[in-house]
Amino acid sequence: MRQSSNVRSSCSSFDAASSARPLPFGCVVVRVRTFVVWLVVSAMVSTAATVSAQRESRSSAHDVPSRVPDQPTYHEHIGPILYANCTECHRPGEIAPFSLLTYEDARKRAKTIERVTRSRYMPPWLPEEGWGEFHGERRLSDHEIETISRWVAAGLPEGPRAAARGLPHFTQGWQLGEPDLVVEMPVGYSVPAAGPDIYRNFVLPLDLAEDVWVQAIEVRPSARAVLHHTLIFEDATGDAARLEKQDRSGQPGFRRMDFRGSSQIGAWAVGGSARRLPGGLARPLRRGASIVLSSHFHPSGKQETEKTRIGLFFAKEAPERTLLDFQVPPRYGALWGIDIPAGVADYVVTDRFVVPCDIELVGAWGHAHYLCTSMRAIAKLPDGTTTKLFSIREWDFDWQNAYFYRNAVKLPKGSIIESTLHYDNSAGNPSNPSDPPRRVRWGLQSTDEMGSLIFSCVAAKEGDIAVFREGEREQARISVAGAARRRVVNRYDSNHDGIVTRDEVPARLWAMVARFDVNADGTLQDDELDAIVRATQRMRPRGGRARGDGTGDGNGRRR
Amino acid sequence: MLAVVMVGCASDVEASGSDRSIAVMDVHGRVRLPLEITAGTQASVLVFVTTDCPIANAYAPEISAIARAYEQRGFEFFVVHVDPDVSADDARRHAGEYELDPGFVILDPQHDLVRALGITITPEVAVVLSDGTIAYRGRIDDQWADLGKKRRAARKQDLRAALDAILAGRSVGETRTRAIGCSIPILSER
Repeated sequence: MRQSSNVRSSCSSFDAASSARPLPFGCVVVRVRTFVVWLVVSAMVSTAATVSAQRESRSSAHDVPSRVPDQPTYHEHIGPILYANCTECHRPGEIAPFSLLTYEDARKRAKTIERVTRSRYMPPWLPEEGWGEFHGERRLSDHEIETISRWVAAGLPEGPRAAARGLPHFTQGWQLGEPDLVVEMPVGYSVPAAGPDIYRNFVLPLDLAEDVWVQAIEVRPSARAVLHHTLIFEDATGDAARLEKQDRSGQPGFRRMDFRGSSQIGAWAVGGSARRLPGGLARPLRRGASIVLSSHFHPSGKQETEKTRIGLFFAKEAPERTLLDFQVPPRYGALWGIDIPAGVADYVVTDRFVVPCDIELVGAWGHAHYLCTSMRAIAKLPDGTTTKLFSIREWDFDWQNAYFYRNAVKLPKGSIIESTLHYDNSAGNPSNPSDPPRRVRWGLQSTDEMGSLIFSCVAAKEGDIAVFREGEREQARISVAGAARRRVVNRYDSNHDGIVTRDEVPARLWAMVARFDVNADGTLQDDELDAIVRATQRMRPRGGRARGDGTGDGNGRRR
Repeated sequence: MLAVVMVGCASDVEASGSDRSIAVMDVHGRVRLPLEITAGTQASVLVFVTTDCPIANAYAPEISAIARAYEQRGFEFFVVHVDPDVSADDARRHAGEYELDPGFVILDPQHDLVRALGITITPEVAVVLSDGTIAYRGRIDDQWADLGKKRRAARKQDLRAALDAILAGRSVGETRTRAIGCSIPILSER
């Protein structure tokens, strides 16, 4: 098998070498260990939770009809639905391609409106109903969708103008008010008229004289048709600036997401609007750090220049509670060993996190690339009950946003969060970036895969933070061991029963690992496989890509 | 499956005789007869668009590329604006922004062409032969599988394949495909 990276190719040569050591298993472990080192060093694991819609509560914005009107009219029924759900973006100067402020606007596009609301393509809101209640929810009710259909079928009656409620109040410009700090890309990035989507990272120097606490980040694109989403990182290492300097394209920014010393502090996608972190929470931003925007562009048919501006909103003082982020599986799935064979239509990643102390979840989101089709997480509480935490039934890479719970979800110590992500690597998945499909493993590029359900929380008792961190480290250890076992099993378990038997392993290799078959039943399973993993870990010197400056703790920062 | 599609569309395979005289204006105020196929021309290729449909706009470079490749080989191209509120000036400005040849651009504010050719989506394309037959109608290619579901690259170049078939004197393989994009705007009754 051809492997690409240095680590992997050295594994391949181990595989081929005739050596007395149990190399194939050891090789697996080396690979995983190197990942761990790199990921512990890297700090890009803290997650975003700055984005959501601005409406505090839909029900306060307009009354959701309890039944479908027999003869809906624009002014009585349709206008209010559009104002409450669409016009935040569909108005002049905002991100959507056309305005929906007037009867004429809506009448002319009524067929499109009916089609995209019925399919729930619009408004963009990925979380599934019944799996967590979030601020700024933009999901139309079945009644509202039916009301629109009836209005179209009735010939789009305008209705009595006297019934019109008037345009909602829109805040122009920055939606959260005047930012404490506005930063702009120093040079615009030119997006060509046509071609594949573009991923590019841009460095925005901050020149902060002191550490600050950030409560919200608002993103204002300049070329609204082309910037589809951007992930926001803090880089205190200078890595990103170095990468930008090395870029020879003549354009600002750089391509590969290789700035591993940075941590994610925000995310924005079309349709998402800025929101302050709840409960006075804030994320630290260090003196001397730069912002890195990792942006995704859709060519729009004409050449455009994007010069993103972001507004930072600071907390007046340090927050009393520490915002903690965790992922299930941890680290965007890097430790899990995602390895999706070409053509497989339903590859499943499952993982669990045992909550190490009482916590309160404040936000949730997910991250994966193009092959992912759905993701969900439930919590099993110690009292035997279950709580549906978060679900996206049709994952869409283009509409990545973070979501905040209306009411914090309390999870006692010992609760188990179980996550499940599904991937479709068949040719039948139009989002598959490879045609024909190819084997896909974990990686940073959009043609690789990742996958995690991501949560922001606080410890119920601030003093439990160390306990929480230790719980996260334990989660990572379990994930690493699980991945190593999965790789061993995937490699040798030819009948896919989850057990490696003597006749599935080459005789010479079996001679090397037979001592781990403690119960001498001719199989390797459970504790026996774990023992192999542990033994090979001991054989290798510690090391890898360790760096002086980045002893992150898995959440990317030490303060 | 294909047979079903073709039978289902049999009623609009032929544009009626009167349709060929449909006259619309171009962005220079000249009258154009896009369905009247002149001698020496293989077919008219009409691409229906609006100025504000993101998918139609995203296809502008491909529309230009196809026109460049085929206009010397006997095809006459039209980019047809179907939004009644788009003026000749708007259409000319749009052509400038998206680098479409303004000579192609015509306006169909009353939807005469839309109705005659059975167009429902932007961007949707119709290829009309000299006898009025709609040799192909549907998507430009299959890059969009649905709204918001865009392939990294198209797998089937349906319009190019149809034009190649006509050039080779073959019948077009798949004569009808489903276009992905925005619904044709609804005209005001006032």
